Amino acid sequence: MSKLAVGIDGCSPATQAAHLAALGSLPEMFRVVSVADDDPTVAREVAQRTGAGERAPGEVAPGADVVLVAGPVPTRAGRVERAFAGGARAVLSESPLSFDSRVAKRTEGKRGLLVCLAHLHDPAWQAALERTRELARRAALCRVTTAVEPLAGIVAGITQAVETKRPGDLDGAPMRRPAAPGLRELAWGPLLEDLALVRSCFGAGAELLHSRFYRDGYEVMLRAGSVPVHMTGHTSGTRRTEWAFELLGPGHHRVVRFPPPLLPGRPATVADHSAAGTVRSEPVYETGYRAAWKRLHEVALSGAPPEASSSAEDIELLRMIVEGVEGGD
Amino acid sequence: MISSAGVHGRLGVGVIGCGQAAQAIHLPALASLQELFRPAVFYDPVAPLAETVARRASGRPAASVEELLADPAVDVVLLCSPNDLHPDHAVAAIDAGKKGVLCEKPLASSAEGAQRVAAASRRRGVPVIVGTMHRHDPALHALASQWGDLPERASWIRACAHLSPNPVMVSFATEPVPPTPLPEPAGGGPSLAGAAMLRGLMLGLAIHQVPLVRMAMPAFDAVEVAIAPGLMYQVSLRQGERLAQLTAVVYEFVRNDWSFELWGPGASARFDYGASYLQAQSSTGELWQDGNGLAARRAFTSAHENGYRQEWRHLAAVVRGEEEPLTGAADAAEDIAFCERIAAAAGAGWGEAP
Repeated sequence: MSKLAVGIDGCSPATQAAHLAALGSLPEMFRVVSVADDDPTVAREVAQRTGAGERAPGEVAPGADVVLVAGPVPTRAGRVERAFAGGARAVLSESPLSFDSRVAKRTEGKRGLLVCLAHLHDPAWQAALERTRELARRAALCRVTTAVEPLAGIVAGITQAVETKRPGDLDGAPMRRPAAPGLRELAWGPLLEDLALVRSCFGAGAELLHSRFYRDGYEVMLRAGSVPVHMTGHTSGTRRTEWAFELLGPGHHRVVRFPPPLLPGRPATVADHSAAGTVRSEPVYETGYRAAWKRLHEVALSGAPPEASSSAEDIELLRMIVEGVEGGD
Repeated sequence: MISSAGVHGRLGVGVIGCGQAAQAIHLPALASLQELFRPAVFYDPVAPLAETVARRASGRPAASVEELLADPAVDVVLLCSPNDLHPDHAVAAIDAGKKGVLCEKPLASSAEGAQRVAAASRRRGVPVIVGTMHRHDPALHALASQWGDLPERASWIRACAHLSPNPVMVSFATEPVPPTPLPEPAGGGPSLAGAAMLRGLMLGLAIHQVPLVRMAMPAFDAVEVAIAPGLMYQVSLRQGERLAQLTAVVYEFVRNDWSFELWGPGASARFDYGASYLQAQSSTGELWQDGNGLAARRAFTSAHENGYRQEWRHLAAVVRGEEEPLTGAADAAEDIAFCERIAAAAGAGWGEAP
């Protein structure tokens, strides 16, 4: 199997907690050759950990076959451009690609670009997707519930992340009003991830009916086709986590449960409750992050464009939600 | 009037309404509490049903509510009659000098009706216990004793009712006597839609969870409601920066999830209601607390007890003056008024903002 050289441009907590773990578990496919970050101290320490060379921010090592872009969101589209200009065959960008859907749409046109939405790539979700879409057509309700602890707590539980003094990745993310950092993080992280799941299941064009934010979370109602989609998010104050995508209809109830974000080694699980009983499935030893990297490996070698991720549409919908365009506060 | 067994012996129970709730819920509970109660007299407008159920329970049928209430063998009254009749029957039992009433939920189909019962209960000093059984569940009490001020601090309150239809649960719980259908009203039954449908769902199902929701969020500034054909509703209440959700889905093959949750800073709690009608299933509570860098999760169970038995035990203790009533008709009236305020905001269907 061809081993691809990886350049890392942006050592965010997701890079350190999730991507390096995924890359480390796929040594037959990848080796990290360069590390860059806006904070030189962080870049140096992560480079030392990985045994890779340290590069200036946005500078991709010559010979990098693929690049991970994970810096502050406003800089990501530019970093993607530079990575391709530098010769990368494929680029994996952390989500969101941009706060601006027009920028995201323009950038998504790049051949070989994959936006990392770990749940969308989760092998359990993908394996169940065809049946999920069938059930969605006759569902009476789709419900998405996301209660996660703040990212810093999760990262701290996974790895010893090198702290940075540079601006956070989500600094400046649009919100309808001043919001606690956890709420901004919740919207531009898990909610965006969940919007991608809804689109994956129901197709494009979900309509925003209303959205509300409360102290520690949000409540969003969409209509996807004829199916109401009720989404609730909450920044949990404890280690207790719940992340579930449910389809309910006469005679069936499908529940897809996702692991807490960033955790390596835990895939989603799918449970179907029906007259035939309950059937549970769970891919073993695979995660959305590993699956995304495997897909990137295919894309880089085949030269084929990745499946359209269309995250631009999700970003546009999220902007309507966080800015209260319709029915919000 | 108190029977000779009366206060210090077994309490004679008069049962008004001999349908599924009486057969599947209360008679099994009473059968397991023979040291406290003795089912005595049964009334149902369908006389053969009352006769059959009375025979099973070694009691006697009565030809009318008045006859039942006049029987000195009846110390306390169980009301399993239609909701609309609960207030009249409860007040009649109180006025007949009975020592206590256990009324199936809801206490009335309107707050006004419940207030009438509350006034009678207060006037005569007769306790009225409403059969929202989980409120009496030992697991809930154990959980609540440990959650401190979490109900006030929680920013997200979630009450979920994903349940199988009642006939499925009843069939698990007992072998019910097939009901004899009452004659249809002229022109057929009412067709419920919108607010009327939601009102029925609130009083029929959500009423179980409203006491806990109301404890955490006594009032709300805004409400959004969506309902769908079948037993499905989604209610969102907001009070300042807090959110409370009540959801229901009733399908035959739904994964049962009847729960109440509080999510707050530093702690969260979940109470899983035992399935309705089933005597053997205990409720469970869980409490997550973070502190000193540690995340702790504690679980509470009812062991071999359940809310149905406990509400009967509680009634006996209150009648004997051993306990103060945990709740009363006035609380139930507040619960119903809470439901009525929600129902008034009913939308036209799923996803329709009112």
